[in-house]
Amino acid sequence: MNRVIVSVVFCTRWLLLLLCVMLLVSSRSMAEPVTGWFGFRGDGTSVAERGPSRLSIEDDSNRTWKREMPGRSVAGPIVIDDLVITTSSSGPSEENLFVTGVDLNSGAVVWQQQFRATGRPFFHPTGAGAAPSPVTDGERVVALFSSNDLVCLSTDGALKWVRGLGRDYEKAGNDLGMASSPVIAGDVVIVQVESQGDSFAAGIDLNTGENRWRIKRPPLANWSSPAVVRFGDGAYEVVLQSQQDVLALDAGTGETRWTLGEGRGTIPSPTVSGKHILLPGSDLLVMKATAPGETPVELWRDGKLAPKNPSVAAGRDQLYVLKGSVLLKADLATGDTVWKSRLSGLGATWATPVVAGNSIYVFDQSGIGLVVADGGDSGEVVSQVELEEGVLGTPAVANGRLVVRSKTMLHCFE
Amino acid sequence: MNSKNATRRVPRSPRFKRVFAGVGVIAVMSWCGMVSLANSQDELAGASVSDAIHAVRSIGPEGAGFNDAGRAAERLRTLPGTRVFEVYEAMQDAGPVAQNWLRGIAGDIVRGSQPPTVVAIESYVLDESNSDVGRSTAMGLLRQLDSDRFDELLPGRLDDPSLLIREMAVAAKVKEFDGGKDSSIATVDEVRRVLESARHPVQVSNLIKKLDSMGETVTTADAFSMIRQWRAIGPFDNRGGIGFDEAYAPEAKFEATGRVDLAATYDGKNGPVSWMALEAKGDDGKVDLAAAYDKEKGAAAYVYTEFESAIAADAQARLGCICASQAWVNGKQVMSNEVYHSGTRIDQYVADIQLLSGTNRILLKICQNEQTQSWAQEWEFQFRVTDPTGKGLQSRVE
Repeated sequence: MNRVIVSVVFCTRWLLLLLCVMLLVSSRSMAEPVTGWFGFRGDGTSVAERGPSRLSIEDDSNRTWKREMPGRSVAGPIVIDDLVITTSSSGPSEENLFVTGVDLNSGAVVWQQQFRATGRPFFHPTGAGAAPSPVTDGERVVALFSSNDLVCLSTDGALKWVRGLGRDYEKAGNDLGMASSPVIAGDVVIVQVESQGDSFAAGIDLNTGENRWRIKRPPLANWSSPAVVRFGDGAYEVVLQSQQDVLALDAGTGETRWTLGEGRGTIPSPTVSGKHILLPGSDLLVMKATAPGETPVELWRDGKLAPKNPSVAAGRDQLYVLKGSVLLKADLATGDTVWKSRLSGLGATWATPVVAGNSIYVFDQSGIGLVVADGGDSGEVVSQVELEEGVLGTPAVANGRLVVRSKTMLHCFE
Repeated sequence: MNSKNATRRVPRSPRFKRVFAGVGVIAVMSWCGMVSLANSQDELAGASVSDAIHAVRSIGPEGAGFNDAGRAAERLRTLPGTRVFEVYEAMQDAGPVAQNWLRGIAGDIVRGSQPPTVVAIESYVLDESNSDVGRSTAMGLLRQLDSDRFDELLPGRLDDPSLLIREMAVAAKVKEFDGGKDSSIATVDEVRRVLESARHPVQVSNLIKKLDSMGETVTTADAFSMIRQWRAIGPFDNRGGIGFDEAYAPEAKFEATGRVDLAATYDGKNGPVSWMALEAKGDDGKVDLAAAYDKEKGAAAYVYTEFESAIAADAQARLGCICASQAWVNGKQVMSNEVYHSGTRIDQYVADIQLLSGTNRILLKICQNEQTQSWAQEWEFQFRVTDPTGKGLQSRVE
């Protein structure tokens, strides 16, 4: 009996040792949090901790690399640790669709997957087949294209699933292009596919690619992206705006949580910063979420802070709005304008401004990029770069680097 | 220490230690993936490659079958690179979304293993009995592995049965004509030759422009075989969009009998209306209803034509229209798109049709809404009949 007890104790010690070894060599996700810029505007605010203080491609260049991509894009890149993900499209109507993983440090292509559009591939000349920005939860990458093809890959580029939303719902599509970027809330990816044809929003299971829910939306063109409100207990609400209304849904079930019966913009998207919900339209309406399921409280609205095409960047109790070539900073709680800066030489803009530390990065569709230094009560252009081609996708900031997608190239500044 | 409570330590047998240490090492190695005990068992006991391919090809709408397809994808991506051709072949007659699954799986196979040789890929591509889509995907792999060889193959693929390979070949020629290498020696005949092969409307348009720049005018209407001669009747009421779903008399008759009565008069939006001749006047083959009906807003019009075919054949109806539209062929509706002023282009809407030997009767309903913006005033369309590859067909004139 003693021998048996001793054997059991001996085995247990070895098994514990084995367990320790397994834990030590286990996936880094158990020990190291995944960092980066996970979707359109990062965490939805377009604000990061730190980035380059200047941008140059001249003799004093701080562009660490640029990489030609297999096609065109107006989508923003995303970053997962040291991996940049970008989408592209090529071909006569840009039916060839690409998802490319690029090393953040070297710019080398790590992997690439290619697909073919199964939905309507058409778009306005300023657009591209690769228009919505991809999104990630740190383990999986989801890319949506203007053709309503939705692709899910692992961060190693391995295929998880593919949906053809334009095949499932054959009237879905806008021949001026679709551009709404998907978001992830928990284990659901939410897409907003609104057009004159089949118009809907859907929550798609991240693991299986099947619908968790799908709701009809107004049959009107809409290029704005959903935004996620995160509550402390793991509950998520997703906010959708259109020219008819604002709708907040339970991200997991699609059940309506609250609605606002007033139309908002169809190009800029809502921004969620903490519990502040910014809804751009003919004015900028700022509300504050209180609890899941409760209609947020209106804090203020101001027509002077309505953006044109780009969405609003908001964080650290401040917000930044780009109206044409004028950049404004305002107080998030009150809407009081802190400063206004006229950005001379800036052309038409589509990319949302990105804030890192006291630097605000603004790019126009000709490729001019500005760094505006926020001095507290004033904003001043401290650096200007002119890239080789235009930028319409919102840049990413991660690990102190700025990653910019121009029409056919990816650039990294440090 | 209380000798009564102390555990008496019994020396462990050396043999026991060796056995357990060995088991421990194997367990750690397995977990680290160096010896995939679990995967091997799954591979051995699981479905065959053909079963896995079948699972992927069997996916349905809205994620149906995705669980099985996902498991199948995991099995298939462990195949060696030399077997990627089986995945390429699986694309034949698969649905477009399943083809994308197979593209992704093929990409995983090639990335995870030694890719097939360039010789093997070329052999697969040049065998035109292989899957069209598979061959085009293989061409993509060839470009990745040996772009020079890819460039060498393309000129010979202008008439490839795979429309995707043909698209690549035409794209290479267009690039050459537009300033790539040897652009100075492009002749009109060369450009016309490529135009004959091109099927993608954007490529056809680009080649027409190239010919025009060389002083050789080929109209869009001719190059695409746009149908220019129509009979039109209207306006019918489309205020508030009510006309889109309303089967006015010409439509009701056509659906019931497959014919129109060109001598009839009906109640229109503003009074009696009857059929009149209407022709596409411009080089682009667009039929201008706004001009014909005095820029009426909130209105619908029907247009009718007859297409003579020598044989019964599969074909396509191709419509470009900036307004809401519906199309019927031989009494059967083939298209319906309630979309206003959201862009237009050649072949914007495509529908498979069956041509009869002899006379085929085509009816379109084109609806204009009441938007007042300057960019919402066009009320026009372009229409053609093509073979399944997109080559424009001409109505046989008696």
